[in-house]
Parts: sequence; C-alpha cells; structure tokens
Amino acid sequence: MDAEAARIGQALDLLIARDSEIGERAKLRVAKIYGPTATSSLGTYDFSDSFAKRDQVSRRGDWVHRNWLRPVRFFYRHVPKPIRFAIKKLFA
Amino acid sequence: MSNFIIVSDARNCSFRDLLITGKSLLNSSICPTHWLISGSSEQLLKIQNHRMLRKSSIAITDKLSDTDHSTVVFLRVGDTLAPDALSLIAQHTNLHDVVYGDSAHGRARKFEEPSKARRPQWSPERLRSHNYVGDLLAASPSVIAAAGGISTLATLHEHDRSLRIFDACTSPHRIADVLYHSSQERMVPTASLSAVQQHCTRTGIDAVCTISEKMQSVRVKRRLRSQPKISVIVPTRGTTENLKGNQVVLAAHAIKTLIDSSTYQNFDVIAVLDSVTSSEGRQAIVDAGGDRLKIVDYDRPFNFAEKINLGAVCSDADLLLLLNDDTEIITPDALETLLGILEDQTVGMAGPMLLYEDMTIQSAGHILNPVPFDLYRERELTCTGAQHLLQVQREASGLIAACVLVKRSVFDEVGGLCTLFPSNYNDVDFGLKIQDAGYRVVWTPHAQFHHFESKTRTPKLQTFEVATIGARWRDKLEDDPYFNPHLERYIDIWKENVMGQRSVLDALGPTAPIASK
Repeated sequence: MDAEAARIGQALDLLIARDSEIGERAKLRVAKIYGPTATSSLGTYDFSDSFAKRDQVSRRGDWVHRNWLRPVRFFYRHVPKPIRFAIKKLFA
Repeated sequence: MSNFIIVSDARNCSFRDLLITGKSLLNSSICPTHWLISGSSEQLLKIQNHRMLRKSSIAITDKLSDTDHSTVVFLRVGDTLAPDALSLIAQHTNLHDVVYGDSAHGRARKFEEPSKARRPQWSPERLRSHNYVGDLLAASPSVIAAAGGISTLATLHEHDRSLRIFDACTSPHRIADVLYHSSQERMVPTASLSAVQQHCTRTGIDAVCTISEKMQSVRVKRRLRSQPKISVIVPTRGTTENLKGNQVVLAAHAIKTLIDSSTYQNFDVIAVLDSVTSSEGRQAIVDAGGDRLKIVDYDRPFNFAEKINLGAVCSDADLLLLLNDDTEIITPDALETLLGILEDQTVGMAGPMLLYEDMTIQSAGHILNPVPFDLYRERELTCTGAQHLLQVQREASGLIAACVLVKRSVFDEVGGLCTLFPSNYNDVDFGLKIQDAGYRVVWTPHAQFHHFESKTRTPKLQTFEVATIGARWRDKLEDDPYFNPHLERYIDIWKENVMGQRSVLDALGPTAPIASK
C-alpha cells in the first residue's frame, strides 16, 4: 500500500514538474512578445485592460463623430418637429 | 510583384455575372495577368470581345500552358474581387502556399454595410464538414499541380476543390480581411458528400460519411480500429441534488447513466472522493459503479486540477474521460464518436456538445476573445451559429473539462491539469498546453452530454487565476486562431463587431432636449 502511495506521489510530482516546465516556457514566450512588465501597469494580467475596446478593428468605420456632421446635426435639431420626425422615420 | 491568374468556371452562368466579375478585376489594385474562363466557349468569346475588357491588359483565355511563377486564384463567376485582395494575397504568398480570407455578402443598404463571413484560421476538421474557406482560394502553382491542375480544379464543386488543394498544401493561411464580395446565399458554406468521401479515401481515413442536406454539412464518423479501454475520472464530493424531479447523488447518476446508456462499454470508473463525502453518497457511488468502480480518496483542500491528476495517475488506461459529476450522457454513441476523433494521431483531445437540463447549450467549445467563453452558452439547441458553426465538427482552442476525452500519452506529455488553477481556467490552460505540444483539440456536435451546472452560477474568478493564465498564454488569448480579429470581443457568440457601423440616426443624435422645448 505504501509502495502504491509512493508511486502515486511520484507520478503527481512528475506531472507538476512537466507542467511547470511548459508554464515557464510559455511565460518566456509571452515576455518576449509583450516585454517582461507588459502584462499591465500592476504587473499582472487583467482582461479589461489587456484589450481595450478602442483597439477593435471596425471602430475605424465610425463616421458619426466627424466634424463636417456638426452643422448638419445643428440644422436637424432646429428644424420643426414634424420634419425632424419625418427624417427620423425615414432612416429608422 | 506577384503574377496572378484568375480562374472562373463559366458553366451555367449569365453574361451579366461574368461581366460583374470582369469589372472587379479591372478595379483590382494589382491587375491579374490572365483570366482563365473554363466551361463555356460562347461566354468566353463574348467577354473577350466586350469593349471594357478588350482594351485591358488581362489576357482572357480558356487554356494556359505555363502557370509557373503565378499565383492561381479561384473566383466564382458573379463574385467580385475586393480592390485590395490581390495585394493582400501577394503579401502572404511568399510564406504560405494556400491563402483564403473573409468575404462580404449581399448589398449594402443605406448606411449599413453588407454582411460579412468571418473565417477562422486553418481548421482541417471543419473543412471536412463544409467548405468554410469560402469560394475564393489562392494557391501556388506547385500546389495546383499536385492537386490535379487548373483545368481539373476549375470544374469541381467548391468543396471538392478546397479539399484537394488543402490536401496538397503545407502551409495554409487565413487573411482576416474581406477578399471578395458575393451574394447573400453564399454566406453559408456548402458541402459535397462525394468530395468528402474521396478526400477520406485519398488521406486514408476509414469513416462513414453522411450529409445533412438541410445544414449542408457532412459528418465524418471514423470507424474504430480497436476498442481501447477508457478510464472515466469523476471528481466529486458526493453532492445530492434534484435532477428531473428526483433527488440523486450526482456522481452516482452520472456513472449509472453512462454505464446504462453508452453503447461503448470498455471503460472503468475512477471516482475521486473528497474526505467530506457522506457515507450515503459514497454508498450510492459504489452501487452505481459496481465492478468497474475504483475509489480514490482525496483529503486535501479543494483543487479540481489536482483531483483530476490524482485520478489519472491511478488509471492504467490509454484514454481518459474527464467527467464532472453533474453530467449525463445523451447520445448513446458519444464515446465512439469521441474515440473516432482521437483515431487521428494529430488530435490530442476531443469534447462533446454540452447541454443544460432544458436542452439549451452549455458549451460548444471555448473561444478566447480574450476572455475564455463557452461558445453560444444558453442559446437554443436549434441555433446553428454563424456559418453553421454549431453544426460541424471543428477545432477549438479549448474545451470545458466537464467532459473531454484525452489521450493518456498527451495528458502525461503536457503535465496534466495545472494545479495552479484550483477551480477556474485549468481547462483553458490544458487546451492551450495540448496545442502548444502540437496536437489539435476538436469539438463535435455529434456527441452530446448534459451538464447540469446552474445557469445562474457565475464563476468567481480570482485575480491570481487571471494573472497566471495571462502570464502563460496572453498571446494566445488575444489572438485565438479559431476566432477572427474582426469579431466582437468580450461576448460568447461569433458576431461581427458592429461598434463602428453607425446609422444616420446615430449621426443626427438625440432629439429629446429640443423636442421638449
């Protein structure tokens, strides 16, 4: 029974050693890509900071905040209500 | 500068469609040297004499003697090539011998963009199910020659063509940008049963192939060469819960249903029991497991990964089924299906579709975006997913460890589950370790299990778990190959990121403050 327990303990240690070896290799690869302290300002990885929404690719297609739209928006906001609602209905 | 030969099959197509494709070639940033139109000499003659293309530098022909040093691009008649598609392809042809990419479908309406089919990186298991790579393929001349030559490939069904080309290539690559524009009907991938059967014969896969005409997908069910023994590892603390109106010991229920319902019977069960397990719970598990059962006692603080590792080292089988105690087999041939996937030497782990008690999806594999999510969680089982993603067997970056079949050799090679993750992310880490070791991880919808995990349960993530998974796999989390950078992040579905696609109403802004005056 003791021999079996020793075998199990040894096998578990072997798994842990193998896992640490792979883990260390993976950490080195990540550090090589992002730099040793690049995980975040706190030095740990955090999902919310690691991939900011502003970096998302299709954000590039955001034309809503262009400056040329400002007078258009101003004009739209000051036209009579029925016309404004008609425009709104048209584009809804 | 690369030379390009565009190849189109003009059989059963209208001249209008041919002209649409021709116009897009003229608008391309790199002008192709040749446009090879096969299958209709009449259409060829008409397009050759069309005033628009007559003056262009594109040589329109139906035969080519020399294709050396030119990249061959298959383009369906009626589809239009994106203006920058050839320049994007040219950037990758030095390193990769086959390239495919995303596509846009349907017409843009007002300020809305057309729908887009976003594709994952090279996924051979999925290609056997349907032609997920789309209708545009660019390949090097050597691959084209090995796959059967231009004239043969041009006339084949697109699924057949893709399978032949990918069988002959060594380094396929996905470009995450729209390469062509097609009709809305071509948004969903097509499939050909005979193409897959021929592919299986070519590549030595001994399988029964069946097609679902409705879903346009092929199921490749491999025949088992042997009946290896599986060790089912069930970590549990003997919890009792109400399932389908009955009070049951979860582990006993999982073991009993597996023994009673599975058509594959060569397995033993290793139950890893916490020291807090009640004597009634233990007895119920013993009764359910019978002769197959081996009990391993675990008397340390809770660590799911450690319990699985303990169960694994107590097993002498070549295959391990990691099974949570709150599961139940649904499809009787689930184990054969998973075993069939592992017949492939390059696959390390396979997992089934997991369903809640009400038959909604619990997990259809993981996506990393960058948060690891169970894909399409809580969606109806009838949901097909983007481009029928949920209907086909495919590679995934990870699988939930509630139910996975893994090769013992692979489990040992990667050091089992990492004990640094006692409750969360041990499965995510495990999947990434397996892929790092060069094996594929495959998810299948053709094997199904219940996972009775509470829908309201939200995993309590610890800061150290997120930090550890990030320290090890940040690059993989932020660039999952079975995802697409243009999809929305931080959600559990495959969805185009439409944050930037604003409507006219967004531009005009709210009207309420003015209206209230």
